[in-house]
Amino acid sequence: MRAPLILLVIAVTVASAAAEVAVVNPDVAEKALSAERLRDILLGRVSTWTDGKPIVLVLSDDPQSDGAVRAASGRDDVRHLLRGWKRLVYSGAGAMPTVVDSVAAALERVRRTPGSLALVAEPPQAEGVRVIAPTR
Amino acid sequence: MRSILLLLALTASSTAADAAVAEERREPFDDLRLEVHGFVSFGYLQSWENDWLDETTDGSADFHEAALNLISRPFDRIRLGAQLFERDLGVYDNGRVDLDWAYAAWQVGDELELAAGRLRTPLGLYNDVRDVDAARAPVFLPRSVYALRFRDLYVSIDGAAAKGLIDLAGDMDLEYALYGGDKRIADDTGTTTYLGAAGYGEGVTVDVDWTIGGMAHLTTSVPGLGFRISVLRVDALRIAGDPTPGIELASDLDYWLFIGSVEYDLRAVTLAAEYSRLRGRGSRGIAALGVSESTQDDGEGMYVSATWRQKRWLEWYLAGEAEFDDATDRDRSHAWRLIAATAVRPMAHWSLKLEAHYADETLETIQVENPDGAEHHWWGVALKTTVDF
Repeated sequence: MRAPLILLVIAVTVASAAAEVAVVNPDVAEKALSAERLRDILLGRVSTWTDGKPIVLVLSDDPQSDGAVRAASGRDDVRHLLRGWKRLVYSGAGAMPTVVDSVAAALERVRRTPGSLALVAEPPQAEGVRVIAPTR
Repeated sequence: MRSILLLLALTASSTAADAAVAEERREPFDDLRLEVHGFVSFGYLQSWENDWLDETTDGSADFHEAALNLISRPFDRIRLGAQLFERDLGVYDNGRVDLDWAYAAWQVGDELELAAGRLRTPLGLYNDVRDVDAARAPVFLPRSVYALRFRDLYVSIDGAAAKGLIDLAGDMDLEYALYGGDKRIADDTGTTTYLGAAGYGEGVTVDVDWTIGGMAHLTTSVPGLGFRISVLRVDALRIAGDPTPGIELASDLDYWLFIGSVEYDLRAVTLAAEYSRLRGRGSRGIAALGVSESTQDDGEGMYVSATWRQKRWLEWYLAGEAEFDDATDRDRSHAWRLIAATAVRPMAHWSLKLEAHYADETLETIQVENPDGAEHHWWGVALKTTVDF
């Protein structure tokens, strides 16, 4: 009985370790981000950092990002998430995220853009950005 | 109309062509953080047994929409925006261009955003996005709750609004919106066209004293499950027209509209159900004849729907809805409808949709469109393709 339990604990631990992370521009003041707040940012329900600066969301329209989007936002994939943003943009309730075509391009955009945030499946090996693992 | 479509097409192609280059260079208006977005769609309507929106038993291609908006964030916490919108829906609107929304918004914090201008009204789950094809799989929103011919009446107000997101205990949160202002409806809109056909005759005018409303959306601790209530009060909705030359028919009613909604988003499947109840009280009469009588409006509508995202590019939709002209006497004019639809999205910015409906009873048909009387069982199909940017 104990062996399956230990395996289950290990599996859950590994799954947690491999969970998605937020990558932000170094000028972002936030040092921590809850999973709920990250979800609200991805869904466009929150549009400013706590210091009042606008959040510049960078999304990678790449099937490889679908898993991270699914886990962090509850939306089915990046395209589904983007359709939610179009609801905001065409109804006058928000501005569109920056959309790029790869994770590498997203990281580069975050490095260059103050206030920006991108979601990636695992911590990147990239300079000029800061990684925040959402707290649950 | 053609110039707007051409402008949209040019802007779309220009945006696509510039995308790669924009990665590497600074855009001209970066400090204003300007964005331009829009969409253009074309469709086709066909019905059997009854005409609906047009002479659709012969098929109608008088079905297109276009929008072009400009959004700017010139300062932190400040957002400005405006959108032009045009629609041709059978005999309604006929391509007239309208200022759809235009606002200045100040983001005080997550809990409060203040906005003023022409603002979309958050009624039910989807009223504020009723023209946004990307937001749904079917061609039309459920007509029992989102009246197709009254778009102009419900879609926006000229006034101010406060909205925000409040964190609650246990992973729950509450989105809210409060708004109030004036409502202006031009004399050549789809709403006035419909009211003219429904008995008010020529030269229909619509005016209100003021309107206020509110929306509260509770996101529960069950992932994807949310409940929403929406209330709208319209004070002194005055409609006047000449059914006979020189004889004016006028009505003046105060309205309450209530919509209760539930949405359960299970990632690949979204379930939704809404109930809408209209309550209008006032008078109607012909002043020239000294005739005036009290009148009331007790419309009611409801639906349940399911959307299945089978693949990244493919969605299926099924809904059943009911609509009653008088909630206190449901045997009067009413309709039951079954709707099935599919949306194919070959690219992120391009959709193709096919929707079919079967209707039992005739509430949605009008005599002008069916002068020999409407059939009680009838079918309709809508095709639509949309490109956005």
